[in-house]
Amino acid sequence: MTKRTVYRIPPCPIWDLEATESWLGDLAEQGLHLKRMHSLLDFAAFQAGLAQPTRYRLTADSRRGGLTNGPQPDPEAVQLAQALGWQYVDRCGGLEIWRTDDPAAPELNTDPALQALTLARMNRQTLGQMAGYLVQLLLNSLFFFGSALFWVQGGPILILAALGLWAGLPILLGLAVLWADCGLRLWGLARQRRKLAHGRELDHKKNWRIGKNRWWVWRGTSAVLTFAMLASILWLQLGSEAAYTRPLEESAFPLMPAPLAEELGAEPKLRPEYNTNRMTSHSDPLFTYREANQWAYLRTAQGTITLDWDITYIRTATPWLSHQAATALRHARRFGAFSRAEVQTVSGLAADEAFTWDNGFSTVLLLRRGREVARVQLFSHYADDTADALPLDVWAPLLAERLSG
Amino acid sequence: MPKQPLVLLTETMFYVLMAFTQGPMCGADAAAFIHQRTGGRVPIGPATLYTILGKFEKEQYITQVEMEGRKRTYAITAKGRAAYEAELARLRQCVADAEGGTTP
Repeated sequence: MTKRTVYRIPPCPIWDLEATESWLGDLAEQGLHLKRMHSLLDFAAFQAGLAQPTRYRLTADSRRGGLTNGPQPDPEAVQLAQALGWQYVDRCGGLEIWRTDDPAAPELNTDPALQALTLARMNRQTLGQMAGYLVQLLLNSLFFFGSALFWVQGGPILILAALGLWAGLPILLGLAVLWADCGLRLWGLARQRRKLAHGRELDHKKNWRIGKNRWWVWRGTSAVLTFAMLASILWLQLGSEAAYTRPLEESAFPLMPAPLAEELGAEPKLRPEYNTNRMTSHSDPLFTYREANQWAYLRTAQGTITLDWDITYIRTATPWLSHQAATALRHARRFGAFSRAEVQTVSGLAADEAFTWDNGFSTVLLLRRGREVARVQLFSHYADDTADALPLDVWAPLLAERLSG
Repeated sequence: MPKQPLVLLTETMFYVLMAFTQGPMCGADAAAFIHQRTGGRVPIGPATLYTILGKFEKEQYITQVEMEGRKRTYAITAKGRAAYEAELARLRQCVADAEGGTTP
């Protein structure tokens, strides 16, 4: 007898119990007997042998303790199956596959109402999986983009806007595919469950050829999109690793001290223990820049001004996305007590949008020009005075000029 | 949807519970008993039997009294016996209703 292994791509989803059982039975009559079913890579391995009428049946996972019991089904389930003429073959997609070539063996499931209950358990698992994908996306967002953008109101929108179309789209599409896959499974299981709940048995001889092409097209599309999503995540991670810190003087983006010092004829002095740049550049349309809690001194004729600033700078793929980013940042007024601070429009600046508000500690300026958005929070004061040393109309035009659009 | 306790026994469940009223036994013995008692009229598959055993154990209708390798032996509990008696009474009433009589 030959021991050759033959591989086949399933023509139907594993959760379509009727089609899968029918397909496996048909292949057994051609001499192909299932050895393994891989859900992740989506193929089945068969052992070529004698053509033999064989019944295949799928049941919901029998492990009572869940995954903690290991990959094998509950020993009692195997013992009962063997006692009644059935053999365990493999597990795939939350289902166990059993077979028998004994025509006298009773059906694996003889009570449709009870079988419907076991499928309901699979439904709950699928819903859990959908929630898991969402949590994973949130954790990834948090991991890749840091907490600063994520936790503010509108943060996730801001992240997507900052990502632009290049990396955000595959991630969103990939997630949509994973969700759609779960949705299809829920729909398919619900259809079979309804049938069973009405006391009807599943059709073990269903024509699995119907819908075969549609299923393959869907699997191909979802595989490509899932791959694109994983590639995007990897690319973003590599981009994050490439983020670097460098001295303020070398920064390409405008920093507060240099233009202000020039404007005021002052001498800037940085506080190196505080001043670091963090610049993350994934590609041209994906550029984020952040300076948080930066400190510097400006020595002027009137005295030394202490500057404390915080910049969030985003360059997006399109002006529309930068508008979304600006809107999200405008709504991301943190510090609860000041979240109702009145937002005022600033006119006369070289920008498409310009807003300002007081967050209780300092003045915030939000600028958008073309694809660029900058949110700057500046606190400036003389040593003996906590009032703003530099009014907005001094530093806002300087900042607006630095945005190229 | 929240899990609900058993309200009504299906025919198969009733027969499985009936098997355990005969004394402690394993699942395969219960299947053999049902086959013999019904003359094969009520088929019971291994997956169905396994699901019922799990459900009955959870509902405390039966309890595991012995484990020998992969084979588990169960015994009916007082709660299980009460459920069986209640279902039996309900079925008797059904038959009586059908025959136009009163409660037996």
